[in-house]
Amino acid sequence: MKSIKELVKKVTLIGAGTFALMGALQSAQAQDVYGDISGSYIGRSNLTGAHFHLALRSLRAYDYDGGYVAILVQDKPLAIAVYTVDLNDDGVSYDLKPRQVTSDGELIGVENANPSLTMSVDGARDRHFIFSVTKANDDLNTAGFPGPIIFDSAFQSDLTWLDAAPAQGVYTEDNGSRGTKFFYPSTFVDNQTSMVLTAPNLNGKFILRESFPGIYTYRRVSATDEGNKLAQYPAKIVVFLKDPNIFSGFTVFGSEFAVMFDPIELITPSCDQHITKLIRRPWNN
Amino acid sequence: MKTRKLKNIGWLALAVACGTIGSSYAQVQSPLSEGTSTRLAHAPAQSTATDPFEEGTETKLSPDRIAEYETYVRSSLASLRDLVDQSNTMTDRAAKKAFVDEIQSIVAHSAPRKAETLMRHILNRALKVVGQIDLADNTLPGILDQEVRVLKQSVKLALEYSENDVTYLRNMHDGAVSPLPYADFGKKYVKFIMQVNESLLSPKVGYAIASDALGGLMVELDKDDKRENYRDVITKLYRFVQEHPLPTPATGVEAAADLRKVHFVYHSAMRELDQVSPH
Repeated sequence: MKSIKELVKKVTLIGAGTFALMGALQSAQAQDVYGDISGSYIGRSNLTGAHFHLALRSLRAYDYDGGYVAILVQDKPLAIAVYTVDLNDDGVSYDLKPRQVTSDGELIGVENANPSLTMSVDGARDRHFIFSVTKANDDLNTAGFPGPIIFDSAFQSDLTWLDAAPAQGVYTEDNGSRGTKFFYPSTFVDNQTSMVLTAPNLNGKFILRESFPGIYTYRRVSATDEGNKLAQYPAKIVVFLKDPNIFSGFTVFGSEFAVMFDPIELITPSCDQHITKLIRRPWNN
Repeated sequence: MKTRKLKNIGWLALAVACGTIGSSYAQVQSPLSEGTSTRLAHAPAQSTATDPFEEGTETKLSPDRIAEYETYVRSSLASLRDLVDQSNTMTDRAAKKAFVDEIQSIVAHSAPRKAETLMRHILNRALKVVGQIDLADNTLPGILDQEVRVLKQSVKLALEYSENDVTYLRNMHDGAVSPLPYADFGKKYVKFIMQVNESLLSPKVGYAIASDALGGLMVELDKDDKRENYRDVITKLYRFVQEHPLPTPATGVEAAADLRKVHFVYHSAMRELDQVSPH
């Protein structure tokens, strides 16, 4: 039987332990050493030799000045993954958490809270940052790309991460042999608009929604006698990009293009599944 | 007997040692804020009113009231199920309004009955979480999506726990003791909220919701009939909630750092709870 004094003592000890731990964590309060690192960077995988683009968007609008949304784009073969980037307590490194369609199908979110990659700022030259991207841990989260990827080029990437609205118009699939796809993003209301796909294998009405800053989902709308029903799971994730150096197929110099890719959570924890590249041809608009 | 009395005194001592325990349920003004308290509060003592001067002070439900409430729960479930289906045909903004209106209506209409069911708890908390997410600019991409997700998933969770409520009400009607599975619910709910929290973009909002969720877990564990088993976790959570009051830290970077502390305490608490009652 415990006395009241013992109980209070136990409570105090537990509390003191918690406080000590909190104190230790408190002393490691984050300082953002390099400030805003938004931009596009070009790098190379030390594992495969593939070229990568890293585009970072600040989450300042969300009252998070040390946070970013990132897309990692592999040139060849084309592959892409979406991440959120959180500044670590050391102020010079960041955790990258892959963003996926959540298992309930509702949004682009985090299913596994463990980061898959860690990004360290190794230095800066005239606001051009040099990064090392390495794996964050052994096997807690392996979604997305593996490290290491080194972003130490003297040149910034020319890849520009666009919003859908400026890229409004007609898009044609990059592979003419599989038919043509079009979609028509028009005015966005509450971050969403409807669009039409007319490819033989994928046609109908869809909702294109900016579910995440610069990251779009599209879902099929089924017309039924009960009304128009929106599919629970997004068909694909879409990002809009512009790269003046792309030169292939129907692509014109300096094209804007959209990359549509399967939500990685639904297919496999990879980032190269069923990529569809759509090119906006200016003369079709 | 003496041991039990001492244990109760021990709990009181714990309360005194940790600071004041406000009976926040007693301070509830609006029925829509009921069940959203994250501070320790104990239910009022059950009265067996036989004295005429205690008339109207009873806190037990009459059999008629229980039957009426059960009917109300059943009809609420039907309308919530329909709403989950209908929301697939709505825009996110319309879906949010429909969910909020329906939940407010259910909570407001069930308020006078004072039945602390889990369904009502979940719905009330959903409104609170959405109110917290709403502190961010909900015209920004992703915010409305998160709100609709919380509402829809909360309704699904409420539907899942509704059978516990119906059983609870029936047993109450029969005079049988059948406590609600508060600890089990608390663990499941905090896991749900922390998962939602991972997807939020504003660490300030995330911090507010996550620390509230820890407080909610503490209250659920405290209400469970096996709460003695959870004493260490309750103490730890109580300490944390007391030492980390809202409002949230000044900058996003600070909030993100504090949010990591919440995650640390959350994972630590869940590990301990798994040891106490593994599934």
